[in-house]
Amino acid sequence: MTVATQTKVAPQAPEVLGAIERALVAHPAFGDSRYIFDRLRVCLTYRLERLAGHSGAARELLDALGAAGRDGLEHVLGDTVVRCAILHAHIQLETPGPSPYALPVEDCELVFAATARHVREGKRDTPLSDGSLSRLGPDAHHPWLWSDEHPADVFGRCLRYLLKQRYNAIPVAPTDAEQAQVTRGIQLLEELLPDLAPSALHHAHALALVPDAGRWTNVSSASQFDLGGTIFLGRSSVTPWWTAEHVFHEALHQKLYDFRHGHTLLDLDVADGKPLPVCALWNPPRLHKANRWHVHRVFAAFHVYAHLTLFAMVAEQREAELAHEYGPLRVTVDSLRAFERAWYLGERLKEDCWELLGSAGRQMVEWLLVALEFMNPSSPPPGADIHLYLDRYVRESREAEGAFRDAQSDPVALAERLGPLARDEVDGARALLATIGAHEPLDRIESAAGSSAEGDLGARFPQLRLLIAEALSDAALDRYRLTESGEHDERLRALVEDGSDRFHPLLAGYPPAVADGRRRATELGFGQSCSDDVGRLLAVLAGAVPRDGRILELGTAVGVGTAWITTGLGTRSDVEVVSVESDERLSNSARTRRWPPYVAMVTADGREAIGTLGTFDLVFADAAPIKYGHIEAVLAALRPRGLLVIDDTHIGSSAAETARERVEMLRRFVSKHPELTSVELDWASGVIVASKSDA
Amino acid sequence: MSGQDAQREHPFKDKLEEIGRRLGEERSREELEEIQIELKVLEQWDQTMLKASDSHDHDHDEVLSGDHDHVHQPIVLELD
Repeated sequence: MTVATQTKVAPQAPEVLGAIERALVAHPAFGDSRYIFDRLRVCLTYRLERLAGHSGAARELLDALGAAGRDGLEHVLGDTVVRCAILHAHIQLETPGPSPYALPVEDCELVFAATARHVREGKRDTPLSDGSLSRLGPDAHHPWLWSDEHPADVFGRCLRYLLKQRYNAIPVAPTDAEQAQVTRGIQLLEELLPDLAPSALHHAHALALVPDAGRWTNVSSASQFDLGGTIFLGRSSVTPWWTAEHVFHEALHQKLYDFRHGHTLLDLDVADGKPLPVCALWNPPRLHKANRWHVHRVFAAFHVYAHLTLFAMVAEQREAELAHEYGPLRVTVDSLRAFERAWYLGERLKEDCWELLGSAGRQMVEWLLVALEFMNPSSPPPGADIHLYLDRYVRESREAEGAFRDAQSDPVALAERLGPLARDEVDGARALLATIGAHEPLDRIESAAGSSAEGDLGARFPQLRLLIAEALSDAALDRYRLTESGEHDERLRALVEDGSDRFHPLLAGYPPAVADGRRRATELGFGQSCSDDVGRLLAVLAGAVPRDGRILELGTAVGVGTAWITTGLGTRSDVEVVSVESDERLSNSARTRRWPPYVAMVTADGREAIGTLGTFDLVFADAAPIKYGHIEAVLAALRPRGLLVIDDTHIGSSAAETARERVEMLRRFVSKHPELTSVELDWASGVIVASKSDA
Repeated sequence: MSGQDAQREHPFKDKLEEIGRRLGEERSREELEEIQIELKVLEQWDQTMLKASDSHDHDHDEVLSGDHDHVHQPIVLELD
């Protein structure tokens, strides 16, 4: 059976699925919403008690909550603004100074006072509910639907502030049709999972429809740990099934986040480092190894896929019965893929992340794996994963198909770029099929691609990939392994991984050296490489450096800027590029690439080295210590008519005063220096470009 | 009632009992406390979370690497 055709877990009796559903809701720690909320309440109240010693408003809220009793406060304390105000005020109490994403303390106090009034008046709904918001159903677990028509009272203003900080956009005012569509999706969800749906929705106090803007661009649904209580849904909802699945998905994230607030899901220090221990094999790496996941994301995806397996199994079994009312089944992930992804992530959590989990996390992993076994007793053999690789391979082929269809793309140029990759993939698949003796699938590849020219193969890249995936799938022992021993699986993995690594830069028309640099940055968890916009500017300026010119980069990091510079130089070899980095770990990473011979990588403190390197026609000053502390030395190294580029001049409002001051000093130095003509571009991360006079 | 009668009455009785037993275990107060965050460490926890929040800022330099945002491409719907 091929990867493409098998999509469903073998059906289970409705009684069995119902029992699993009830167990997922009833577990006294991991399933019971009331218990989970009560632990969240205890933790928030503890913080309020600490705040009450410093804030009259916090004391007022604490007293009001105390008088109200323990029950019925879910929508008050679960509200995004109220819980953020408590958390942010507590963080700022414990860690003085500006905090990213934090509500200002004065606003937190206003929220405390207004929430105290709300509770004293006997109200138990979300404080956001001032009459301007509708509710997505009549029951206690139904969320309120955010509308941008909500007035700018303290709750509306603070929610907008938090969302603007995180997403750089504000949710919309939904139309009546949109509201009806979401309501219908929730009705379907409750029809499918009458116990699990309310349990998950219990943790989503508000739902916001989001525009295709800011960090919501191309986002179909979203939720964030630090914006607890609200889920976000794109406006592209097409069917009630789609809405039901996405609302369920995000509400489950909120349930897990609420659990995490009161339990040792992960080790307490886990956020200190940035290891990315797990590869989501079915997802493309794109340019930045986007399929490498931090443990908190692995856990959240594991939790949600385990539940989505049940959702999809029930949906698939009841499709015929429900189609007349809700239309044909259309969900993002079918039951088998949901199961396989959940199973894989559970295995990875046990094998690769165990030390990063807390005791609650370890127990929940074991519990959910048992639940998965009940849903589908036919789990993949340990370590077998070719189904996940082939899933990615096919998904990438669809992306290629989309690129060829894109009216803005040049199909001939795209085919030329993809040609060598298509040839290598065909050759790799042929060799692998020959090795395992899969003659019929091999013949199919031979007849489709055997003697074709590279350009032709490139033009047929999407179809060839599907053909290769199908041939490998047909040749495999089962869905999960090529052969019994598994000894040839590694070659299939390499075929897919190498293909992915080459495919995305080719698709994007991205310089290979830059793509390589971005990958190194991801591997090291380095997030400060120069942006693509600044990189392209460097490439343009490098290309214009006079004959036999010299270019200096201060702050190589992993070599992304250097890659843009060498890209701009193209085939030139008359130019010398010197790149300086003081951090040995970063410098060593940059050196792993084979650079053109005119590039010299120097591991040194730029402040000490700059006086020994000569003069330059283009200087990219990216290292903070030298651009802020030794800009005169940089200027001395700049030749007459040379260009100086400084980036990262945009300083956010939450930055420390000292950071703003040093940027301001640099700005003044450059703009007022008699030898420099400069311009500051309000673009990318903020860029200053200056030229040095002839004199 | 014989075993066969019970099976006829409820063909999934054993399985349902097993599901209840293995997934719906009871927990004592002490067992629950073992997995709960100690309140006294919430200060450290908040600071850790603050760093985690800060790190998301960099993750978003490509929208597809965001935290739990599900992204749809023109052709392919991305899901965690």
